[in-house]
Amino acid sequence: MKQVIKKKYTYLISIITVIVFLFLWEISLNIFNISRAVLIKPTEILITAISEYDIILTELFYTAKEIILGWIIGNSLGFLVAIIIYQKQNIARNLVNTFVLINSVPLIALSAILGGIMGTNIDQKILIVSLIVFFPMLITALSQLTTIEDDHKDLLLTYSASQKDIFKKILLPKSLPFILNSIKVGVITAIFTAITAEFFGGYGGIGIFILSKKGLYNLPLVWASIFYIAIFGTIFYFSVEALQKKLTPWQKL
Amino acid sequence: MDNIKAIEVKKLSADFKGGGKDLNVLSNINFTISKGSFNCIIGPSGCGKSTLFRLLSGLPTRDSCKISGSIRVLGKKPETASKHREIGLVLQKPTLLEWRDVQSNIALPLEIMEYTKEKQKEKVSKLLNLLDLDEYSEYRPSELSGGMQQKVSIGRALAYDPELLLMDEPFGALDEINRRKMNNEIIKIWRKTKKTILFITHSIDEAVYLSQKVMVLSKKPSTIHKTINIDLQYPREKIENSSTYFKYIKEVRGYLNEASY
Repeated sequence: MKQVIKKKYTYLISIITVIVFLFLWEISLNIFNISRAVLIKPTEILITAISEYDIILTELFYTAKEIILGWIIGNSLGFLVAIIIYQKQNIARNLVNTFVLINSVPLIALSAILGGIMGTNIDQKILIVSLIVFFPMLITALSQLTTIEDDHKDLLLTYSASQKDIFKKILLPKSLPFILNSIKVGVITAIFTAITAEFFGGYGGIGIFILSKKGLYNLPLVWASIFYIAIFGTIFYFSVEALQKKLTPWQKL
Repeated sequence: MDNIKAIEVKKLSADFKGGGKDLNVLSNINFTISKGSFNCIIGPSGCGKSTLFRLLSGLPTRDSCKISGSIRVLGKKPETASKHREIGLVLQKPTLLEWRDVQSNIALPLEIMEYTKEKQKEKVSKLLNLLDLDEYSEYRPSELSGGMQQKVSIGRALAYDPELLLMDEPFGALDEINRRKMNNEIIKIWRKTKKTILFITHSIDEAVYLSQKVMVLSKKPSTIHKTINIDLQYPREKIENSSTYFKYIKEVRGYLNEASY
């Protein structure tokens, strides 16, 4: 009971903080006489967001497709490859370090190169998003699947458990919280990557839209786009978190 | 009653290789344990109790090790006895699976050994009853105290009905009061199930309180320094302040001191 009240209280505090922040933003523009070219009022952003919602959402859906498809493909492949490599225990341990190394390369920079190779259509964006979420997932899954507590190993030895049993009953459930966490963090990375990749060129999407409207100094539309991206990201992130809570109820988030 | 001993160790020695020279961990260990008895091994820390435990359980030693002599568990090699599911292990840490509740933690070995669903249910409910854990069957390990967790791990070890229970300092992490509570529990379980128990501990009081036979292990290279038969009746709640009880404590302490220097 105490916990429920505490949680409600936290929500309330975050809502109040946002409202206070928006309010200060709104009045400070008047007080400090800030030019519209620098910053515009939240109310103006909201009005634009409502009146221009159809154009913005069309562009956002294009990008959302890149984000979601890339996120699903990258995470699934990362997990699958981890399982395949896991079967070869002795090479698996050495490979983890290699993947960590590859992952530390800023893969987003590949966007420009890939654009030259395969064009800047939607497939290229999906590929980049996949690549970006692929490696963290692979590293997480692989390092989880290749480590087991000594005591667990001893117990399973006395039960004469098969490799399949060890995988199914210990390794997989033990890895699940970490894998889901990686998937959740991947949401943010995927959104960031898709939009940044669009800045390098493309045939549609919210990133291109923002870039072109910024060029025309249409700041309300730029801000309204960011507003919708934020909403999309929030919904996406918390849906994954809800799924995580459902799948790993023993974990305290 | 057949005459096969639960454990029979003859001239057991173990040498670890490492750092250029061999380290003699166990040296000429001899003892027997009869079926249905409660036995403790006590020794100074780092004396090779854990190595002995691993050898008896049929588990590979953590480092490469040269072993001579013979170990028979229920007349077989420990590995064979383990394969025949005649050995149950209770380790220092409860090592329960945090994602499983109490009943499915107990069922883990049964699942692996491919018992039918009905059989699993039947066994688990019997054990929950034996351990007084009925109302906790759907609790997760994180919701239980350390003593309770260890109780669940005892249940897990008993799930497939092994003849021999090997316990490696299972209550070492508990406070005095909870440790005594668990001591009484394990005596109760032993008296009900009539299993053979070999219990490793570093507490003199625990060793005397629990067992019929206490074996004092010396420091490295370890050997059995002395064996003391504890001739006290069970249950032992009422006699733990008696003069005979203290006499045994004093005796074991004396031998342990001799064995440590």
